[in-house]
Order: sequence, then C-alpha cells, then structure tokens
Amino acid sequence: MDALIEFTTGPLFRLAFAICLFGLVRVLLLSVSDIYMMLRRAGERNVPWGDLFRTTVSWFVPVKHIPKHRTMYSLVSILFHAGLILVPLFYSSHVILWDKNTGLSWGFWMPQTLAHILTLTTIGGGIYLLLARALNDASRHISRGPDYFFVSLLLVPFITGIFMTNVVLAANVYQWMMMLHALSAVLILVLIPFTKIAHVALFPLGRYIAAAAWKFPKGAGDKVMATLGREKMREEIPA
Amino acid sequence: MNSITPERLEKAYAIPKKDEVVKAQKLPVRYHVENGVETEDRPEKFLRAMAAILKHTNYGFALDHFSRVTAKCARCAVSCPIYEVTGKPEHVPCYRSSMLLDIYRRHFTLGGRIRARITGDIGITDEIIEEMAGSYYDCTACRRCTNACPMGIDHGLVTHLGRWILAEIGIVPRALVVSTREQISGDTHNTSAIPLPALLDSLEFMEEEMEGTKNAPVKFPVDQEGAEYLFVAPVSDYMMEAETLMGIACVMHATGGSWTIGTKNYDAINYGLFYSDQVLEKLVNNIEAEAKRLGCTKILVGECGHASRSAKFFLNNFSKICHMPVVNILEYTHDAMKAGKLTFDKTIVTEKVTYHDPCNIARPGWVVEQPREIIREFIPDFVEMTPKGRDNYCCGGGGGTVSIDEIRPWRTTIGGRKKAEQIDKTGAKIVIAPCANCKKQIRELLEDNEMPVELVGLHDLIYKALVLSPDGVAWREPEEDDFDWMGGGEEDFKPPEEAKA
Repeated sequence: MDALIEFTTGPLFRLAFAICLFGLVRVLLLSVSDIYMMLRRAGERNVPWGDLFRTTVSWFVPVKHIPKHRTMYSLVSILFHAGLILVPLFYSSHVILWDKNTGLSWGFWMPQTLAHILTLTTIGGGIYLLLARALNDASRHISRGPDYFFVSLLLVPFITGIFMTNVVLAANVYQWMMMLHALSAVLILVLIPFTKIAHVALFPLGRYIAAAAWKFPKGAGDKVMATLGREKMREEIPA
Repeated sequence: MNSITPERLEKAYAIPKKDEVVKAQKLPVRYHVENGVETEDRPEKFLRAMAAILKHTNYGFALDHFSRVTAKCARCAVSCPIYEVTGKPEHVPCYRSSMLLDIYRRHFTLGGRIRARITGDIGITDEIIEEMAGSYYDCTACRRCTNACPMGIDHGLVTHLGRWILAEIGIVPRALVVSTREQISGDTHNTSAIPLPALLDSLEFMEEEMEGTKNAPVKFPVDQEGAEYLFVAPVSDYMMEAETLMGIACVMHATGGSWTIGTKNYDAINYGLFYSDQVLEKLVNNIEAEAKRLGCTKILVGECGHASRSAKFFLNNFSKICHMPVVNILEYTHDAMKAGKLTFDKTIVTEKVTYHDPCNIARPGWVVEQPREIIREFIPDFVEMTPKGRDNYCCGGGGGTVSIDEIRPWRTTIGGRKKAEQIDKTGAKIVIAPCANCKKQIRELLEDNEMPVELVGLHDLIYKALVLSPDGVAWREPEEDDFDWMGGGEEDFKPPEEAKA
C-alpha cells in the first residue's frame, strides 16, 4: 500500500499535473486563437477591450454581483471556490508535495487552522451547492449527471483530507484515506482540461468570446443561402 | 395595476391558431408563420442549415466555448423577466441555450458523436425543434441574463443564432417577414409601407405645426446633398410618434445641425437583427447606400433601440462602401445640451417622470447617462426605476416580439410584467421610453394593466420645453384643428394598404 501511495503521489501525480497543465494551455491557446479567428473573419473589429476587462475582473472578486441574484448560492459558491483553489496549493503538506514533484516552491504555507476552516467551508459549501442544485426548480431542470458528479468528485479529496488530519478519525483508515485522497486528486487533475472544470482557465475569456462572436463576417448570409442551394431570399419572394 | 388572473394567464399562454393549423404546420407556437412552412425532415434540414451557418460565421467558436464552461448555476434564471414571472423551468435562459448547445455538442463535435454512439442519443428531434421554436420567441433577447452569468455566456447570442437557424427552415414569425419583405423587395422600401408622398405630406404637416407651437421656422430637410447627418428613424414614428420627430427637428434647428432625411431609404427599422443576419446585412447596407448617395458622413438614428444598435454595431461591420460614425439622437441632444446650445423652460413638465432604458442601447452601456442628464436639465420631478441602466428590465416586447400582435396577451401579462411593476412602484405619471418598439409595448402594457400613466419619447418632452422662439416662450398651445391629423384624424394617415391603393 505504501508503495502504491508513493507511486500515486509521485510519478502518477506528476503525469496528471502535466496532463492538466498542458491540457489547460491547449484549451487556452485554442480559445485565444478562436478570438483571433473570429475577429479576422469579421467585417469590423472594434471590441471594447477595456470594458470587457473591467467586467471580467469584477467577476474574480464578485462582491458587487452577490446581492443581485441568488445571494446565498453566490456567497457559498465563493467560499467553495476559495477552498478549492487555496487548500490544494498552500496547505503545508501540499506545499511540500508541489516542491518535491514539480520544483514549484512557494516559500510559505497557510496556517493549519485556516486550512481546516477552508476545508470545512468547501465541504459544507459543496454539499449546499449540490442540495441547492437538486432542490431549486430552475437549477434542477438545467442540471445533468456531470453537473452533480464533478462537484461530488471535487469534495472527495477534502473529505478524505479531514480524515487524514484527525488522529481519531484516521486511526484505522489512514492509508485507505490517503490512497483515496491522492487518487481522487489525480483524477481531478486529469479531468480538468477535458470537462467543465476547464473554466479554471477559460473563465476569463467568456466575455471576449461573446463580444467577438457578435462581430459578423461580411456576406455570411449570402454564403449560407448558396450553401443551402437557395437562389433567393425569402424576403425577395412575394408571399 | 391589474393582477394576473387565471383568465389572463390562460389567454397569455393560449395558442391563437386553429388546431388543424397547428397540426398541419407541426408548430405549437403562439405566433403565426407564413403558409407553406415545410414540415418534412425538419431535424435533417435544421442540421443542414446549422452546418451552413456555422461554416460561414463565427457562432461555432462561441457555441464551443459556451458548452465547455457552462456551470448551470441558474443565476440567469432569477435575472430573466420571463422566468421571474412564470417560474417555469423551461424559461430559464440557460435551459433555452442548452437546447442549441446540446445539439452542437451532439452533432458537431467528435466527442459528442462518440458519446452518442455509446449512449444511443439520437440527438435532435421534431419535438426539440418545436420547443426551440416556442422558446426562442418567448425570449426577448434582452441579454439581461448575460450580466448575471459568471461565465459570460451570452444567451442573447444563442437565441439570435437559434432564430436564424429556425428561419432558414421556414420557422419565423410572419409579422417579421412581412415587414422585411416590404423593405427589401416592396415598392415603398419601409416596414410600414408608407409611400413617399405620404411621408412628405406628414413632414409638411409637422413643419406647419411647429411654426405654430414653437414660433420658429423648423424644417425637415429632405434629400439635402452634402448634409453631415443622414437621419433615419423607425418609419412608424412618421405615423405614430410625430411629437418625437418634431422634438428632434427642434433640436436640430436649435443647434443648426446639418441633417437630411433620404427619400430612397427613410426607415431605420431592422428586423433582420431578430431572425436573420442576411436580412440584417441587407438592411444596414441600404442605409449606408443612402448616406453615400447623399454624401452624408454620419448616420443619425432617431429614438429607437434596435435600429440604433443595428446601425451602430453592424453598419460598419457589413460596410460595403465606407465606414462612418453612427450617432443616436440622445447622444446628439446630450452633446448639444452640454455645449450650451439648448435652452429649456423648466416649468413645462411638472408631473413626476420616470425613464425606461431600451435594452439595445443601455445594455452595452452606450446610452445610459446621456438621457438622464437631459431629463434632469428640465424636469424637476424625475424618479428612477429599480433596477436601471445596464441592468434594466426589458419592456417585454424586445427581440421583435412587439410586432407580433397575436402574442399581445403574452407580452402584456408575462413579458412586460416586471416593467409594469417597476413603473407602478415609481408612482410616475409619465414614463419616457426613447424607442419605437418599447413605446408600442409599454403603451399596450399600460392599457392592458389599466395603469393611468402616459408614455412618451424623450424628444416629445423636449419638443414642448425647448425654447426656440425669440420671445423666450417655449410652447404655444396649438389650435384644436392643428392636431386633427395627429390624434383623432387618423383618416389623414391611411393605413399602408389603403394608402398604396
């Protein structure tokens, strides 16, 4: 078991991290190139970059957006995301793991108490988000299996993490929890670029993509008509 | 304000067509479509049309991104004026978009095709197309939900694309096509089929009217070559909103503006924005050609949200001849006021006034503060709606739905409910809506909800309060006869068909 844990937190972690990193760089570059392609094809390229940048930044710290819609959901979502991002990167054991496997050394780690609080808020937040998704009519109607699965999967390393850091809870199950903790983390890393979790990298580009998509290529309508084999517009044919 | 009774709800949801028509057309939607809509092999035709559109446009990039990041958080739901009233899951913007995004993933991506092989997902069906046909016209494409989406998914863009694909297989409200057909291949080249002589007559009437009320020789220049601005207004204004146009003419007179109305194209309306990029392009090209014919260097658009947006954001995009600035009349008047060219009599408008932001000019943050500054300049009792500006509620007639008369009960019971509540809360006696479509919708909204509020354009009030006369008097009450042609005297303005005959 120890050897398996060693392998999972060593080579397998490094492989998963590489897949995640290169996968995200790939989708990021593809999206940036999409924006470039859209604007190249468009008849006019006057995009309000500054306005879009300000709006995008406002969503990184979405304080002003919280009170407007689904306030509790939005607030919990922020706490959930805070733990998701900070604990894997800055919890003491993780800092050592990053250093050992990738050479990335932050030079500091977060206080244990803060890590525990964030872990608990992430677990609590995740459960709340799942329930809110299932119990709210609008959310339930638009949600599919993966929407529930990914949130649940993201909670696994946090729940197992709680077990591992608590002497009483970890008494007989430490190794199993460690295994589950590491494997779930590896699975998440691999899935990130290929699933909706890719929004960790794509999130800032949404508004630029939408703005570029409103820039239409000249003559596209006529080309569509030709491709469909029609000779006249509907509006050119008497009713 | 009337409450929503079960009877009103029933009317709002009712399909105003005979059952046999719905069955023959295989379209359980509230709007009428033109006869002869094809019903065979719709899924295949839809996919063919979608493939052609994705091939020649940029929408595929957006669909790819949106379907990759959508978090399904439903924040958009509680920002949608339709969902807020109905509470029906099918009115959640994200759900509406997901219909098209799912089709994209299933039929146009490798992953989707592989997954379909495994799961046996057949993808698009007649039922999904029917649902989209209803859903994409329940949506007013006001894009308020986009402001609420953390991922920046533009549901208005998806609705815009969905409508175009549907139009390519013949599913498009008859009211929209009839209007654009007259613009593109009709004799009058405008949506209301107003012949040129009728337009010139109405301009003359208005000039005479202003001579009396403003004691100033205000003119509507026509075909003035070399004018700086080509002026285009929604052509319905020439029949329905004479005071708006007279207000605009007064501002141009006060500023000494160089402007002209073109006789070859005097309609700013562009319903292509609501169902087909091809139509959108043809119509903005027509405006540009008219500007070029008269040697104008700028386009000035009257009080109309979608017409302003069509010209501002798509004229230069589709430009065939030259690029030129597009100015909304509220911008022009605001600049003139700031430059000290306008003098108002602040005692003319004494009632409590509120302001409705038309989505097409306010949502992008283009025209938000300008009208408010103008209003504060001469209206002492101004009250804001909540929310306002970029976050305003749609009037309920956006996305061209206002011109679909058969869905009026839907628009005034469901679509415009939030707007009616907003207006009611302000306690205002006058609501300003600087947009032809918003005006029609809010008038019907006020009427159907029995709200004693007057609806006007901003330039209607400017017309009254602007001082042009050398004696400093802003407004002289017109003789009763003077208004015959506007108010009770509709007989002077023949309906289009009669006028043409």
